[in-house]
Amino acid sequence: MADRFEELMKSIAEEADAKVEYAAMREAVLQKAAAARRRQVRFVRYGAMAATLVILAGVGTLFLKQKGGMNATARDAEQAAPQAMEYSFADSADGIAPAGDPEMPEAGNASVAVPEEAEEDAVTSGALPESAPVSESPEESDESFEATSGANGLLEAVPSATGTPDAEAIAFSPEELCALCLTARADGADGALASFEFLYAPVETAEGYRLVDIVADCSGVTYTYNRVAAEASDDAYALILPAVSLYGARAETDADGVYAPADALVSASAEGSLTWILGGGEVKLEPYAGCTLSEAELRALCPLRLMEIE
Amino acid sequence: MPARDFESIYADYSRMVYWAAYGVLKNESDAMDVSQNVFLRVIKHQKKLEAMEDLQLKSWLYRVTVNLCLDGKRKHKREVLADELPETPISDMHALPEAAVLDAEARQTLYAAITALPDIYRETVMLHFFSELRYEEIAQLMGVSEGTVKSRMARAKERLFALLKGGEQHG
Repeated sequence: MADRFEELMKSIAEEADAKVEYAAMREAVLQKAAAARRRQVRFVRYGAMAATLVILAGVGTLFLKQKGGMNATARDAEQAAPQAMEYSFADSADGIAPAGDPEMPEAGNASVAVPEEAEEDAVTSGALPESAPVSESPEESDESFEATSGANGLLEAVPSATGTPDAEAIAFSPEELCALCLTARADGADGALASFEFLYAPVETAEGYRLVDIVADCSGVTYTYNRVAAEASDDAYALILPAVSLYGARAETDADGVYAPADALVSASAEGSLTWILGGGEVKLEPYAGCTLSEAELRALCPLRLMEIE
Repeated sequence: MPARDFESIYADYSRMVYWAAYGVLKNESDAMDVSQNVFLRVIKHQKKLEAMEDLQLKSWLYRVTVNLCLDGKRKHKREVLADELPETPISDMHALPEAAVLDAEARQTLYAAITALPDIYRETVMLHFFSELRYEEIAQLMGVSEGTVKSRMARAKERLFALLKGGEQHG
């Protein structure tokens, strides 16, 4: 019966597998990957174009303001000169100034020479945005944003390279967050947690929680545990360390009931096994095969969870 | 260092990934979605994966698969009931002579019973029979001992035996 059962199971599996459309799945994967690449290129390309437009607008505004200031100076000096129609238009609507200005003083022409050159450069770079190297576009735009922001204050909402610490934390990529944790671990700091992945597995009783994942995103680092004996779908528990925890905050429980154990609920033995108190029951996790961490290393890895090791 | 590209990884492991996902999710379309996302990550991390040994790669794929499944379950909080599993793929009764001991309806019932097993047993059965992994490999992937895998498989078989003998589906 057992051999026949094995054969039966294999035949069922083979037939089920034959129904899976692996070729279609592969095509879908490749299409999604290609679409993602296109989106990325498009974002960079249009981002560069947008940055060029912003530069043009900023330079143009600066040019007009300087020109308007010079006109006022000229008006003050001459006092009796009538207001030209072109100046009224430019001042009131921030429009385009006339190409030739017969009343512009010589000194004024000299003073606007730099913005004109800048505008020319910007137009040149913006004329062929698609032919520009993709990797250079963001850098150009960042530099331009800062320079423009400092010049006329029109772009205050544009983030600069020297943002606040909070803004930097939010902007971290998962890899950067993990790298931060690992760096902290190497330095022996309390924020060191990312290397905890898969150190522990459930004991033979098939009861307990298994650390199945560590995911870092903009919200922080999430440690996901799977209750091994669970039969319900929502029995995955996660320990969430918000991004700010990298700066000293503690784990917490979120609104969805995701579990974050308090220090007092976890104890560890010198052998490296962890004992948790979760959901009213006591759970013991043994070190995962191949785990050779010492007691000190365990402590360094999970300072938020380990109590005194007896 | 093994030389592999996306195509070879896909050819070697797409079956394992799909059935690992199915073992967790019990739903074909969800398993397909997760499998696609797993291989999108393969493309994304291809250089890192190229340097991995087979066991490392297999472990990485399994972890990513399970993690994505759990993420999806947490997000959607939906449970697919066993009796909603529709596309029971058992149709050819004559594929294997041994299979003739059961008629199509019984095989369909057995397939549904597999998907209705408790998580740890179903995942073990899926990995062994559907993903064609050995007990040793399953133990490494799931982070348990080989003995645990064998005992889980034995319990899974007991439940399915009971079904075949006309016993209750859930012991």
